[in-house]
Amino acid sequence: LQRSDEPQETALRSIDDITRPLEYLSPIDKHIGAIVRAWADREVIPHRRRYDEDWQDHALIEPAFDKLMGGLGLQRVLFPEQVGGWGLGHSGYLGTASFRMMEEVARADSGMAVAFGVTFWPLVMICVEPHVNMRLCQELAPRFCETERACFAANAMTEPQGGADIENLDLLGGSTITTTAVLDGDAWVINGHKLWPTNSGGVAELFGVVCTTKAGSSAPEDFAFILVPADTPGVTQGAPYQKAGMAADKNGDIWFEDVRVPAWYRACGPGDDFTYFKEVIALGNLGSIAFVSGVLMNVYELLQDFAQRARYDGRPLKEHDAAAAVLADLATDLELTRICGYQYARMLDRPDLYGPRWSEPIVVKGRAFKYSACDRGLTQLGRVMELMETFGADRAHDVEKHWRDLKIVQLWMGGKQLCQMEAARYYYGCETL
Amino acid sequence: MLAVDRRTSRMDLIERFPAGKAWATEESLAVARMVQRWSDRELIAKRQTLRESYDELLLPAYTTLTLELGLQRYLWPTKGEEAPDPVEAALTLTLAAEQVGRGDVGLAWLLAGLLAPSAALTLGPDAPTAEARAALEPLLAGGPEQPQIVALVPPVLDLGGDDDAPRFDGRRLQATARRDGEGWIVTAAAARPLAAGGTATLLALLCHVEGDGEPSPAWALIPADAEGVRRGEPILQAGLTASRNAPVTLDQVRAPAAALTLAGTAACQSLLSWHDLLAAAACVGALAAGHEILADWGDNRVIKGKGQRFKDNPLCAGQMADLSQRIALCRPLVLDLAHRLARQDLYGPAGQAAQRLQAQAVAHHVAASAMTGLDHAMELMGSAGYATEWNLERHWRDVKTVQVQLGSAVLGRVAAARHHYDAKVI
Repeated sequence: LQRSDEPQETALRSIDDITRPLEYLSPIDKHIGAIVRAWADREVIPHRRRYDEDWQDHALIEPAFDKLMGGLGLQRVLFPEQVGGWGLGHSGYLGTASFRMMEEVARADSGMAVAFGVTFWPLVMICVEPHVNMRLCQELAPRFCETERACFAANAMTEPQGGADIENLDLLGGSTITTTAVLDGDAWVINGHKLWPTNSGGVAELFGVVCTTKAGSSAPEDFAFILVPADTPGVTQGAPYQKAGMAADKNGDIWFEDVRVPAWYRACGPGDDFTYFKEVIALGNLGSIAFVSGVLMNVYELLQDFAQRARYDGRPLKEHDAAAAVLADLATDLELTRICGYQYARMLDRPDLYGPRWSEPIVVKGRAFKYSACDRGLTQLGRVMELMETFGADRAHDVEKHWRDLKIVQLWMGGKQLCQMEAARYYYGCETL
Repeated sequence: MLAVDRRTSRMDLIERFPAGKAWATEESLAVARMVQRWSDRELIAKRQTLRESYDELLLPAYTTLTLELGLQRYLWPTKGEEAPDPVEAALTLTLAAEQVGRGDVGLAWLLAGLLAPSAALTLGPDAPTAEARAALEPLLAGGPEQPQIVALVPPVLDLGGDDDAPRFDGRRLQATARRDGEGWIVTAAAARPLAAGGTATLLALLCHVEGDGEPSPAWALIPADAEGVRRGEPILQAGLTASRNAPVTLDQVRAPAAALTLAGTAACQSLLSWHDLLAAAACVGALAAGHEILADWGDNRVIKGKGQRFKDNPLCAGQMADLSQRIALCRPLVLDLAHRLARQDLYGPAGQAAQRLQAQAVAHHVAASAMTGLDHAMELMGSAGYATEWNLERHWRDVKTVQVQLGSAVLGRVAAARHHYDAKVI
């Protein structure tokens, strides 16, 4: 073999060379991937460097959402066809199709991916087999399916006193929930205070409210998931929080004061709300893995350019063995994240093989995959920023935005420690954690 | 000399994580505590309302630090005063940088830029000539009215693809200097400073010096208001709000002979060693800030809905302890480096290869450790750690920005391998 110090001409790889299990992909994968990628390249990537200053107003961000969710119609995907949706909830490809959408949006901006993805969270409770609530689908579908504007939804879960306790269902069974729902005739009366929901801060038109019908109870039938339109009297939203990143995802306080909604706005009913809410957790973890995957995909693309252009000691950075090892690690972890994400997506799509989406093994494995993907993603982004030296912290090179944005993906839904404890309980039979 | 306020203050980094006591004088410790109180009063007490406001919080605090507390003049005693002993001076500035970093890493980064040239000039065995001193002192120590802000312009990775451009440590030198009679002509095109290109009063550019027999490279110290200096559009960065950075262009700027006093490889590396020391101290300060924020969080949060205090959970407590251990391990490293750089009679000039590599290794190690510690602190606090309201995320962003500006640790290790293993061809 001859070795030359001059780089040989080789074909540049692209993100499409990163492995996906092709046998798992949904029939709409190719088309949905293409339209979202085109949207991202046109509507988001050229503008995203200005998003940080747009965190309160969303003057730049909102039009891009309108095109994705309203114009392209992706906010309809979960609803049944009978009410104007695309029927993804009974397609057998909920996991894999969602993963593709989410990673393509996250490639452009993981904050947008979060806001887009979380819109489906409350809808999962009513639009997905085997627990479709057709009456609520008919009631709520027009908001999403008969508009060209983006229509957002949010899950109101976290409360001031509890942090991750709401998500900690197996241990606490909802016993720490202080937001109450009291049946008064044919209406629920809801009172409580929620923090941090994605798409709060004045964005969402619909809330899925996690509440209890009996304060302090850990009985599954007392856990309630009730849909509340944001314009219902008694709902008050605070201003969005200022954060390290994630400008496209607004978060704030929500107060519910004697909020009345029809009794049939409860998503699945006593016991079933508790059961199927775990499916929401599983899909949230799937989405989180997709966000990591999408971010790593874009950083890989950015590095293809930067590592060729930036020269150290008179040669492209990528031609230095020490730097090349860092580049290789990023590509490798992207491979692992993507394969792992699609594998988990497929597990959600094949309950006949892996068990229900709300079952303990599925939920726990989602948490394990999620925290592992987040750790990998953030480690790689940190190392890449360091390799880029002074340019790594620059808004103009985009990597730092991905790094800031991605950090909260690791922190939410109970954070890493909750994921670790659930995994330990499941894998080792821990009884006292 | 500094007029030291000797009252005691709250969270005492020095006592909780003691290190370097054999070297620190009473005067050093008194200055450190004075800066600690400044940090409490001027930054920590005000940041909940003023957040990261440059005009209302950061610039006034920097002004107080440099002028009222007098750190700007510390290495440039007025006539009749004795110059500080190098070890005492190095320790004093390091302890001060820790405390500044505890309040705001960006201000500590500015302080590092301000003090590193002065330290390289005054704490080595070769004091500047009287003529050079007369020319440089006003630039670095300033007057009583104006806080000095120094923008260091080091070499950077070359994005232009010019393989023939003069390099230093494998990176492109962003400025050139050539003789012009008794003085110099300095040129740079959209050069990128480490900090404060938009607000600096003084530019310190690492230049390729043209001409046979000229000592190259050299740091050129150029007043930012000199004729021919232009500033570009702001560079937006992940952190360091205190540093309003922007590229600078020098169009044939004339400078006196003394402007290139720090000339030759060792002198140039010396400035970078001192800068690395102060940057590392800033990162220790950020860890101390994380410690305080986490201590408050650990006392006041309950988990698992059972009234268990956060810090009484073994997993959470272990992570909290990890952050504390990082301070306990990093402080001695940083204070030892301060001692090493000051004791050039024992360890050699601050710009000598072994000293330079040690400074770089300590800075990289401490910055990486601070990043990990702050990462873990954010993970413990969940979304609250991510919100500006809790004041943790700003340290996280700031330290990352410092870390990347220190240069790649991976590439730094290549230089270390050359030195320690005589690896000549890498």
